[in-house]
Amino acid sequence: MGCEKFEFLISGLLDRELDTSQEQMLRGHLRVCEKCRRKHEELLRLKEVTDSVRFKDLSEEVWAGYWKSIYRRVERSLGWILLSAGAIILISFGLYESLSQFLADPEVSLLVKIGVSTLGLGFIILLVSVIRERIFAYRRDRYKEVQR
Amino acid sequence: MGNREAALDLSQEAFVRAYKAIHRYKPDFRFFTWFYKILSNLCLTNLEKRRVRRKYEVSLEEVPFELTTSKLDPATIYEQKELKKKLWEGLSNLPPDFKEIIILRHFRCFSYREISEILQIPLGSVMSRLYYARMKLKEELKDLI
Repeated sequence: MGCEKFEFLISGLLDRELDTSQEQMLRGHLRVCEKCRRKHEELLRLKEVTDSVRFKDLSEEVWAGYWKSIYRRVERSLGWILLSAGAIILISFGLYESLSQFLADPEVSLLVKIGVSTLGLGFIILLVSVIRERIFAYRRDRYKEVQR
Repeated sequence: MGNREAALDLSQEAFVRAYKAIHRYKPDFRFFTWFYKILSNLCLTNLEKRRVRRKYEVSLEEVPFELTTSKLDPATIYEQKELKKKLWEGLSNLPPDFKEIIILRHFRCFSYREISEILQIPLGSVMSRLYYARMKLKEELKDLI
């Protein structure tokens, strides 16, 4: 076994994460390998340095503001969802009403009515197709949890 | 993230995202592991956007560390303050995956098994990544060690 494998074990030794046989093997190697022994001492010193400090706790004031802010964010995102849903309903209703009046208007020629209807239908088919494709891709995406 | 405000902001955003995606949480896993994944992805994306690659330097007031012992003489306190600052700078100059594993092990005291679960890497990789991260940090702190 080369020194590289023992080097990784040094980390495990410092953190008391080695099993008995790994520890015995490493301690045996440390007795004969000065390079690894020096690395062990350096990493031990590094551990002493990191052990001498800890992260500061946040004050209660900051925590109180923190949870309030999360509540506000959730509230706002709910607001946006409702606003968007309302807008979609109203716009759809408006389009439906306009189209009904347009098609019922006797002054508009049949050709124009057919043209507008075909255009609208084409748009709806394209929209549904894109939405369906996006939903299909999302369901099969193995990395959807990963933020890009 | 480099500063407290950005860290607080992103952790709040992670809570909101977790709340929205709670239906995707599988109770077979620990909630913290699932939440941590959302949070770390968010942080990495943000760091990538900011492309923070400069050498990190902070004032003493900005260092989020405190000493674990208060029974020190004034000279040692001064030394320890400098140490806090250098350690934070050294840590901030590490690549994100090295910084992350050092914080999880040294400052949050997670076991290797827990770290392996949180980072979704094998146990052996926890040991090797920690080794390389520590060597890099040691290099950053060469004046101290």
